[in-house]
Amino acid sequence: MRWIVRNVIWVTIILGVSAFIVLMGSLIFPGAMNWTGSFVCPDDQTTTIVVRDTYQTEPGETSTNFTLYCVGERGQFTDAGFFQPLLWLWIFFAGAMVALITILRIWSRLRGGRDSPPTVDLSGRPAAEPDGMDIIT
Amino acid sequence: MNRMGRLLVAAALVLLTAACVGSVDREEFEAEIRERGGGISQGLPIEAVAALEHELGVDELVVLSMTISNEHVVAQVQSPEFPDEFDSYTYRGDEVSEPDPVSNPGGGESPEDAAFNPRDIELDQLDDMVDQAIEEADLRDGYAETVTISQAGRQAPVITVSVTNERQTASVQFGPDGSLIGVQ
Repeated sequence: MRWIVRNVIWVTIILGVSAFIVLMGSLIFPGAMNWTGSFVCPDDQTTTIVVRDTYQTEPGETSTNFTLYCVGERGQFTDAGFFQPLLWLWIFFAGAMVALITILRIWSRLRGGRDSPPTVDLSGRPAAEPDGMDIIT
Repeated sequence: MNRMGRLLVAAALVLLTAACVGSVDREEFEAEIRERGGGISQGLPIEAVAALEHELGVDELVVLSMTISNEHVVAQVQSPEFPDEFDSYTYRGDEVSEPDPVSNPGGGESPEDAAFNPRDIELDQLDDMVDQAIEEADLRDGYAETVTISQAGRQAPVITVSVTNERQTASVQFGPDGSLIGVQ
């Protein structure tokens, strides 16, 4: 039960952090939406272009929208919007974070099992080798 | 300005300039579309005909004219209930708009005589017609702006591809089977 709760917390944190990073990242570098073309574009429209529209909302204040367009050889295009590419980026990023954290935890456990120095008890005799399975990350 | 202030200004500048990275403005995008031929695709009118048939619940659509651009199809469609009335519908690739009544359809000519079934047109050859029209018009940096299909004053529907550049416009006409009629 504790294992389930701990993993649910982990997944929630990963989803939240990755959503924040992807949202902020796509505002700073909207070109990242081009990477999702294979998932959101029709087969005959393989070129992706992120279009920037800047509007004046109030005097002295502007608002910018980003839209991903899929473009074909003859100039035919499809509006793939902003949120659909963003959703794919979120899936990629969250997946990459899960993979990275899993690799790091496995590596940490393996390394901990091999490299931990033997502890010494009061008698001065070496203690039993740690099993390497109780590392808390 | 202290060190933190300078750092914040630098960060703000980086963010502002980076916000352009990987994106283009609308004008650049439209220039790219024009460079590729204008973006008129046969897929849109084919979808539009099917969507209109479904919307009106008819097996055979009867239209007075169809105007196709790279973003939408506007069709003047005969009312299934009142054959002398026509409504204009716009299809943008997702759904059919609400009908907009056409006043004085046919412009003096009997609208029923000028109406036709768009399935009689070889719409699946429209891409080839547009490519051929750009070639025949032979305008420097020319691109296809619109395609109009109409039968007004003729025996059969005519497909007119309007090819343009910044200085001039040419109309290239095709028959319903996609055969070239001429360039004006």
